[in-house]
Amino acid sequence: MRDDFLPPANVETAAPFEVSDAKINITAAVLGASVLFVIYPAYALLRYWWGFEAAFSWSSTLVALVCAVLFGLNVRRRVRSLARAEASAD
Amino acid sequence: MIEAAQQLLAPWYLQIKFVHLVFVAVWFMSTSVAYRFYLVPILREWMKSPRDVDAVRMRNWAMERFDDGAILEHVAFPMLLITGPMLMIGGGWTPAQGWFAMKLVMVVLVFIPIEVMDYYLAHFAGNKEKIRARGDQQAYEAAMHTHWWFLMVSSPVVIITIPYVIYLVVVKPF
Repeated sequence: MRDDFLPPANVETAAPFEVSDAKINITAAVLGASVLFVIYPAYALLRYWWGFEAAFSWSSTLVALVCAVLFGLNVRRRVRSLARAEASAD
Repeated sequence: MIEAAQQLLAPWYLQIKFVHLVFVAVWFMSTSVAYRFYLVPILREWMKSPRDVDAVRMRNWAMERFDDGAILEHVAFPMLLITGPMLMIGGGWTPAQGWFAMKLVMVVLVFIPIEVMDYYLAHFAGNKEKIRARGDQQAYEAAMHTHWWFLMVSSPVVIITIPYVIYLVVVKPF
């Protein structure tokens, strides 16, 4: 294989990839909250706009809340497993 | 206007659906093997030895190849944005159907923003090969970190939302 097949590496500028637990937690919380405060209201408003009177309900809000929590926890788990090289199974 | 378009498209509904499904498959899966079995292991190895010359070279190669590999996904996505509205008009689908309203929301609020960022990182100002050609090593490293963080955050999102939308359109559960 030619030595120039791979791009060169500049190890002087190569920096470790560092992401704090706080940043991961905030990212997961924002994405989880977006299900409850962005996706669900957008869906309900769109349906309401098209004449579906019962677009907002306590039961569907509860479903959105459960989905938001589970989604946020899953994002946190997945991002943590990717961001922590020592947690790698590869 | 809409009625005329519906009359024009309705006879071709299944043909348009076929084209839509082919591009859904390309969009959804074309980068998955490269991401899971090449990029993630190589980037993890680099994270363990961030200044090891072999790990950095392999990282640079994998990410630059991944930028190019995203071309298939990024050709397919505009095709979905063309054939999707054609199916909507031809099939007479409206947000009166709950599944369709949710699909619209997911496309507009989840998929389009992620794809805009992905286009930017893979093909425009964030393209690593172009940055390397300019000789700006600091920008190259920054673009590498930004892209890796974007992939870390967006992958758990699309792993959930894309199968969910496919479930919505196939099962039409509400």
